[in-house]
Amino acid sequence: MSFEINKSVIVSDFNLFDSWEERYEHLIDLGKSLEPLDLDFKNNSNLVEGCQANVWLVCEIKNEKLNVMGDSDAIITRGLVALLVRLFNNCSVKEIIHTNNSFLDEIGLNKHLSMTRSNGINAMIKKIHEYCLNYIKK
Amino acid sequence: MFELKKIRSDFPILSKKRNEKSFIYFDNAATTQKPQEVINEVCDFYTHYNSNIERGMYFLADESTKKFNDTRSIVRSFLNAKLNEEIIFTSGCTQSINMVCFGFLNTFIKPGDQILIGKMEHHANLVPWQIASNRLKAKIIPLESSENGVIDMSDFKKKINSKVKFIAIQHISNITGHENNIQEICSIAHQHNAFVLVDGAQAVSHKSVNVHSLNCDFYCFSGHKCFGPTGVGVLYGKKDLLLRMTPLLFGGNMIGRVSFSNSSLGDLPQKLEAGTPNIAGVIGLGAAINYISSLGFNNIKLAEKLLAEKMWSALKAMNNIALSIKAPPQSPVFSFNVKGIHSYDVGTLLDEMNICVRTGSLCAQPAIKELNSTGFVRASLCFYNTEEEIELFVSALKKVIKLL
Repeated sequence: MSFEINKSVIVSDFNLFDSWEERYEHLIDLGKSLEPLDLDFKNNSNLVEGCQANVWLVCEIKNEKLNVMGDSDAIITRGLVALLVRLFNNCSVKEIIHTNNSFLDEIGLNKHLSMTRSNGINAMIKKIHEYCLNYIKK
Repeated sequence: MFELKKIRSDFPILSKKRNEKSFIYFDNAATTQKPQEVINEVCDFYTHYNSNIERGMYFLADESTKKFNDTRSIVRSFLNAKLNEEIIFTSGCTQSINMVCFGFLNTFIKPGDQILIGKMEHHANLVPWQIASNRLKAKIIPLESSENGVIDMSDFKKKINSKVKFIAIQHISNITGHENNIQEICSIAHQHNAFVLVDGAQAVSHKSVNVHSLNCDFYCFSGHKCFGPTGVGVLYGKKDLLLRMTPLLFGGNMIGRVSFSNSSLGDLPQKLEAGTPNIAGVIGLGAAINYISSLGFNNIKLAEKLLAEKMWSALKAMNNIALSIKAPPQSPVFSFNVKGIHSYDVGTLLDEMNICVRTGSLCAQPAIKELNSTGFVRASLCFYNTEEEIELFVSALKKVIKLL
C-alpha cells in the first residue's frame, strides 16, 4: 500500500458525509475500532507532547516500511490516531519523509473538523516523520 | 438599569458570526470580552495622543501622563486602596505575583521559614513560590481545601505558626467559583506576623474588592480578566511593604539619580515600574473599570446570580454530569465532567456548535488532582451571557453525549 492510495481512500470516505455530525461519527467509529495499545506501551517515552489529551504513538520499521500503533484517552483524538495509522501504516519510509501536512487539507480535516488546530495532530505527524528521518540517518 | 440587550451591544465581538451563526462565549474565566469603550480608549490613545509618559515637555506627553496617572486613581478607588502609590501597574497577575516572590520574599525570608499555599491555586500562584522558596530554602506547606475548593479554615489554623511568614491564596477559585474567607485568613495571618497575597484574578470582574477591609498585604489582578486589554495588570501592596520591595527590573523612569558608576532608585510607584509601561493597556484598563462602575456591582452580581442558578439547576438535572463542587458557586464558574467522556472530546464537539468553553487542566494541575480528576470542562459565565445561551448550551451538551 502506498501513502497516496491510503490517502485517497480516507478522502473518499470523508466525502461521503455531508454534515459535521456525520464526519465526527465516522471519526469516533474509527477511534472505537482502533486496536487498544498494550498498557506496557503507554509510557512517557511514547507520549506525544503537544496534545490536550494523552496520545501514545509507537513506531516500528520492518523491511523499510513503517508500522505504527497508537492510542489516546479521548475518543476523537483516538479517531485521529486511527486515521494516521490507516494513512501511514505499511508505507515506505522514503515515501513518508516526502509527505507534508497538506494532506490534512485534501482530506478536508482542516476545513471540516475545526478542532484539528488544537488536537495535536501536527505533533503526531511530526513524531512519525522524525522517527522515519532518524531511521534513514542511521 | 441593567438592559441585557444594550449591554451585549456594548461588546462588538458578541455579534460575531461563525458559519452564519452566533456563538456562545463561556470562557470568561480565561479572558473576558472587551466593550467598545475600552477598544475606543486604546485606539484613541494611539490615534490622538500617543507619547511616552513622565518624560516629554510637550502637550502630547502631558495628555498621556495625565491619563495614565488618572488611571492609577481609578484603580485605587476600584480596590479601595488608600494611596495612589500603592497601585503598581504590571503586565498581569503573573508578573505581580512574581514581583512579590522575587522582590519581597528575599528581603526577609530565612532558611526554614514556611509559606502556606492553597492546594487549589492555579500555576501562576504556585510556581513562582516554588522557585522562590527553593532559592531561599524556605518550605512550602500546602493548605487543604474543602469540598468546594476553598481553604479549609481548621487546617489553616492548625498550620499557622511562628515559622509561617507568607500566605498566598486566591480570592475566588478559577475551577470551582467559590470564594475564600480572605478577611479571616488575613486577620489570623497578621496575629502571627505573616503576610498575605491575594490573587484576585477571578474576583475583580464579579464583585467589588475592598483591600482596606480585607486587610490583605498584597492584591493582584489582570486587566484582561475584567474587560480590559491583555498585557496589563495591577499589584496593590501596602505602602510600607512596597517601600521594602526591591525591583525586578531596572531602567527607564524608575531611577532617582544616575551617574556612570551608581544609581539611586526613585519613589513609589515608579520605583517598581521600570521601562516604558503599557500605556495604552493601562488607559484601556481605566476604561474597563469605568465600564464596570457604570454597570454597578449590585447589578452585575444580581445578573450573574440568576445565570448561575439557572446553570446550576440545569447541570444538576442531567444524570451524566459530574460537577466539581457540592454547593452552587459564588461566581458563575462551572467545572464538570460528562461521565465516561474525556473533557477534550466534549470541548471539541461544543466548539463545532459555536460554544467556547475551556477543557483540560485549567492551568491548575495540582488542583485538578486534588479534585480527583484529570481534567474538566469549564463553562465560566459573565453578566453579558443570557439564559437562552444556557438553554442552548444544555441542549448542545445533550447532543454531545449522544454523539459520543
